Amino acid sequence: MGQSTARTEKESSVEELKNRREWWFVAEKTRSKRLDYLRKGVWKKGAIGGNYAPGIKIDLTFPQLFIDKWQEHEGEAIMLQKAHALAHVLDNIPIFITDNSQIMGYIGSAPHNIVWHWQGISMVNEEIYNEEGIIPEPEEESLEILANLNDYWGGRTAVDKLARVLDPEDAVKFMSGAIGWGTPTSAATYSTKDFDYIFKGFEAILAEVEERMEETEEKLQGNPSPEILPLYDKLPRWEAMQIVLEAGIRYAERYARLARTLAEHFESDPERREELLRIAETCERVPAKPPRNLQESLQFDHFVQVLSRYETFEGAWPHRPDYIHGPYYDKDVNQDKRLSKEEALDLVGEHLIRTHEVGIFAPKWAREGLQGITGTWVWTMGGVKPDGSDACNDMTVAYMQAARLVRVSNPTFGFRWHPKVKDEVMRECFECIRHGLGYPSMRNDPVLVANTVHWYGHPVEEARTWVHQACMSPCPTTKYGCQPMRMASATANCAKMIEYALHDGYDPVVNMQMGPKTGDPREFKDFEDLFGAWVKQMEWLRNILVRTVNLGRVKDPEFFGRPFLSAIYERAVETGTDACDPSNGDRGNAWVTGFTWVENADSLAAIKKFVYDEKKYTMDEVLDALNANWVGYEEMRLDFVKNAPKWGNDDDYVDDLMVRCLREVSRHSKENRCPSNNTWPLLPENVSGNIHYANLVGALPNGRRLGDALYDGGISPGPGLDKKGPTAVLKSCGKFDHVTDGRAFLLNQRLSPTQLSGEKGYQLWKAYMKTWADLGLDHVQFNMVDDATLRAAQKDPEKYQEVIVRVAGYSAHFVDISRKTQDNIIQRTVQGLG
Amino acid sequence: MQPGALVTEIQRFAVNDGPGFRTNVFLKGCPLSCRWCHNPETIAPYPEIYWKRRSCVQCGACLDACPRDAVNAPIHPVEAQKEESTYHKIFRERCDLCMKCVDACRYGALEIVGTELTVNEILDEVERDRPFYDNSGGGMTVSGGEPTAHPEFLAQLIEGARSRGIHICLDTNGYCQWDVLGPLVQSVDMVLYDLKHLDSARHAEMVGAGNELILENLAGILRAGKEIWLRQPIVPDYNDSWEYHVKAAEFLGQLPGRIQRIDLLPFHTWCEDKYSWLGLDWSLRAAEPMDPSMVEILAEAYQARGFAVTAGGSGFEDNAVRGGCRHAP
Amino acid sequence: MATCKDCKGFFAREDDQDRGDCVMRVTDPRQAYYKAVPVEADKDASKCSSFRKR
Ligand code: SF4
Ligand code: SF4
Ligand code: SF4
Repeated sequence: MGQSTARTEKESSVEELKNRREWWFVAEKTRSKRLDYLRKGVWKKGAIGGNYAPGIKIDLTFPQLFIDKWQEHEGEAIMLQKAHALAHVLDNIPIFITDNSQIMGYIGSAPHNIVWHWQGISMVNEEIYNEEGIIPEPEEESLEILANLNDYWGGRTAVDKLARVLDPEDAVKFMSGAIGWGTPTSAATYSTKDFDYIFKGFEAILAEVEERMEETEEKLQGNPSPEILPLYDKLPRWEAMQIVLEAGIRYAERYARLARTLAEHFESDPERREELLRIAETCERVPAKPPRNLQESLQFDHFVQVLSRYETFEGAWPHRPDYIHGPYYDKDVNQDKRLSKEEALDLVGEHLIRTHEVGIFAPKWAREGLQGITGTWVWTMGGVKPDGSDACNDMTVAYMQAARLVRVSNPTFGFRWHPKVKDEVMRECFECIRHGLGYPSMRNDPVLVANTVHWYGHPVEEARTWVHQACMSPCPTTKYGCQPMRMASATANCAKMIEYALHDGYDPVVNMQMGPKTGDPREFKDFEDLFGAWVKQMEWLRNILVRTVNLGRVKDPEFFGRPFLSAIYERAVETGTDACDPSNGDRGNAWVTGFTWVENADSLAAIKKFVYDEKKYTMDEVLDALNANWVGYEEMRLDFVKNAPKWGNDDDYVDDLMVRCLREVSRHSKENRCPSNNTWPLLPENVSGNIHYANLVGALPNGRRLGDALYDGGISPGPGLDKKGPTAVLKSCGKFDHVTDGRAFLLNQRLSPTQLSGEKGYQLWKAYMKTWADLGLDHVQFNMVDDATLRAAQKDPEKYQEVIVRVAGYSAHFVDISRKTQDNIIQRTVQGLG
Repeated sequence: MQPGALVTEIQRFAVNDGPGFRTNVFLKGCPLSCRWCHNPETIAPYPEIYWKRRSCVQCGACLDACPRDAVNAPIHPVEAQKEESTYHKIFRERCDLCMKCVDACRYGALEIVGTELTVNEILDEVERDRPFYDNSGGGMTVSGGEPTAHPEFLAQLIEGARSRGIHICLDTNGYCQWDVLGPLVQSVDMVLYDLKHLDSARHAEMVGAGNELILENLAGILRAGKEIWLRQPIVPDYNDSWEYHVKAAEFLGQLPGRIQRIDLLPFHTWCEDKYSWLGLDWSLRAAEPMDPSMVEILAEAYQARGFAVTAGGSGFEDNAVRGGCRHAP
Repeated sequence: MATCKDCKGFFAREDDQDRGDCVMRVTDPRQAYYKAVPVEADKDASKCSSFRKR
């Protein structure tokens, strides 16, 4: 409404698109030409429906270069051997500069290539050989290269080596795939990075390494004693660090050289020539020396990310780019005014694109779960500085704005909310959510800082530097706070806890005695007996996973070796150790990722109510029904689905059980210890486990059948089971302590776009968020109930039972109403869906 | 022992029925019978049965359970679910609402609508969302049906909510004697008040009664100085003309007090299913739902006279902001 | 025998004239870019399909 006179055609059509919520086209019309070109230039590396897009090829140059030098240095300390091989790759891998681009660095030899890491798991190597469509031409030649690689690496990968030291019984149970997934190795990992240290520049780190080596050599020449014996092993590690740091600098110089060549011999457009010279200057400067401006800091950052991904498969991207780059933005844009806001936004947008285009091969079962993305790269935004003051800055805003312009599905953002966040920043978060990006997820900073201190004893100033280590877990970015390796290989398929408690430790799906024998449930006198069995199964399941990861962690430096990561880890540089060596001062920060968690509370509640309280069914009947996978028991099953209490409805009966389960786990989390003698709290979330485990979890008393998808995950209620609406969900989730009852708790919520439209939408969301914070929840992320959701609800009503249509004075469950009305609602995308 | 009242639903997270996040309490029973009524299940002052055809598998268990031969024999579920099907599970005339069929149905296809709840039972549920009220200036909205049809119970409910410190909004159609309505209005924090048509004859035609009492009571509430949001359901070919709203705005402008806000609620047909679940025919079944953007134009008639107007009645519009704490979370 | 240093796409390194970058323009279905591969100046270019005589 109001004055519409002076509107240009472009503006009004953008308005129009906004009204129709066609956000992709809004972005296309509002972003710069450069960002438009770069965004459309991206080769999407995430698999769609499990398959890679046509044209995506596996990179064979990389492994060939690697293996040439690797074999030449056979017999050397693993870190050193790897450093030589990596340096050779970095010196020789083809590099490229895309038109209009300003940020350099890619993992692979061409934009449509994806790399993989053949030193990790033989099984994955074999999958590549058999994967259709991704083998580069000429195929025969490529297959031969692959076959040779497989021959050499078979039995030599990190996981092959680990398998040989695992307890054989544990190994069989672990490999059954029923109780957990992931392998504890640096070959499939992620790591926190301390940019305060890294931004000193590689030359400064090299000088430090040099100093350490001299010092050590001196000691070795001195008085022989047992103390000096370990020093012999340190020297090759430092040498390895030197080799990769120097190679990293040379890698950047190659880009500088190419940019200069292009400026001098190829480019006719004076503006682009300028840019190329700036690129050259930037790549000559970083990562050798500290960055001086925004382009240099972004470039430095990206080089570091690329280099560590040449070294290994980093499946996540722990990062806090607004905090790291904020001061450079401020200097360039606000103080020196050498960059306009628009120019800065171009760089920030390209940073997202350069990250988005990174692709690393994942085996089919893993990429099916990732649903179109390469990994779960959650960048951390907002939060506080070590002194507790607001850390949000202009870069926070720039990233949110750029995200709406380039609309990439990866990286996503997790926003560290705290009471001092300014309204304008909250509005930026809200705009991203309203634009249907699905991010940022909102994290409760005070709760998570306290949580980090509680579980691992990080000093509070250190805890305040936290980033999302993977999707959810906060990890500090300091010298001793950084975590170098993926501990989340302790990923528990928690639904097995209740399944085993009901089957005397036997797994009816993989047909194997897994957990301890906790007794025939028919003999249980009361609910307490059942609960006791559940506790024992829970402890057993956690123990076996934690044991495996602990062993993998300690053995990792021997089996894998990370020269580059070590070279950017202050504590590794200082001590001449592998970054992953737990003895160098690491504070742990381990957690057990809890897939399929809520099923436990719902199943326990159903049995408690129907078998023990109301005596409506006997345990015999329940077990018969479960053993029959509910076949022939449909009415009973529906009773269990519809009439047993379900988590997420603000119903104390089941909510109290959830709290009780969490407290048991928390107790046990303190008994389990990581190699640095720290705790192992539970972190309920799913990523994609709900689909992956569908055929591995048998029938459960919550009414689920073998093969049905499990719940969405974390502490989100079962789909369609949260009948009392969003306020009741939040209330349930607020009944336990998000500091002491676990590591973090994922909560998915659906919101309606019309509810969020306009200023009233923001006011509603803000009031909702304030309540979320008051209730002490640590996480929430929002999906939009858009046309697609409603169409899905029409097809699969059981999973969308909770979607409520609301207008003034009227509300109804969407799935209850007739097709005709549903269509009408979809057509109007509704005012105020719940 | 407190008396109970029939409640059809306690709806949490209501965001369009008064300021902030609210919990709507729908009391069953209404003296009017608006043709467009979106909650037909709230009209009859006794419990009824919903038969949700989409959930019914036609197992016949209800038939066996019924002592009065009031259940229709199963037909093929696909037939029963067809858009044009007139099949209904229960013969209303023969049914005495013993609810044996509801107990027998394992598929959730039969549902009792209207449960007797006490003041405390209602308030215990309402109170569960207190943190949301605190952050949004929200609270309880007593609605219906027509809540004033249960004056004693309503008075106790209001009293109870007041003593628990819950913000109370009374959603009324105003069809109630002033000596009953007046004290009730006095005891709540604010009123949502329906206005359907200014012309009494046209009012009677669609609503089942003239508008004299309603307009008198509106003036009474304004005189009493109570905060009031006027809700106008906009029904096509009935009260959707520009001229009508210009006149309405003029009329409202000269009432003896200020109307804080006017909510224009576009007619929709989503309640159609509720009629069919009850086994009732609906005269507006074939009517076209309104394009919500239409009411934005009508809103200008009120804006011209300085009224705050919303399309849809959100509790989060700027002009809905009130007390409570509204700072950034 | 034609070698890389006879090719238009060859750019010798300032610090070492015996080595250099082979620079090529590539247009793929999504984007256009310049690509650089390190080569020896004396590398046999007779089988190189991108060879362009200086
Ligand atoms: S018992 Fe329920 S499902 Fe079976 S026919 Fe009756 S209404 Fe339908
Ligand atoms: S309520 Fe009683 S009388 Fe009515 S249909 Fe059901 S069983 Fe028959
Ligand atoms: S006043 Fe309300 S509840 Fe009563 S009939 Fe009219 S619309 Fe329905």
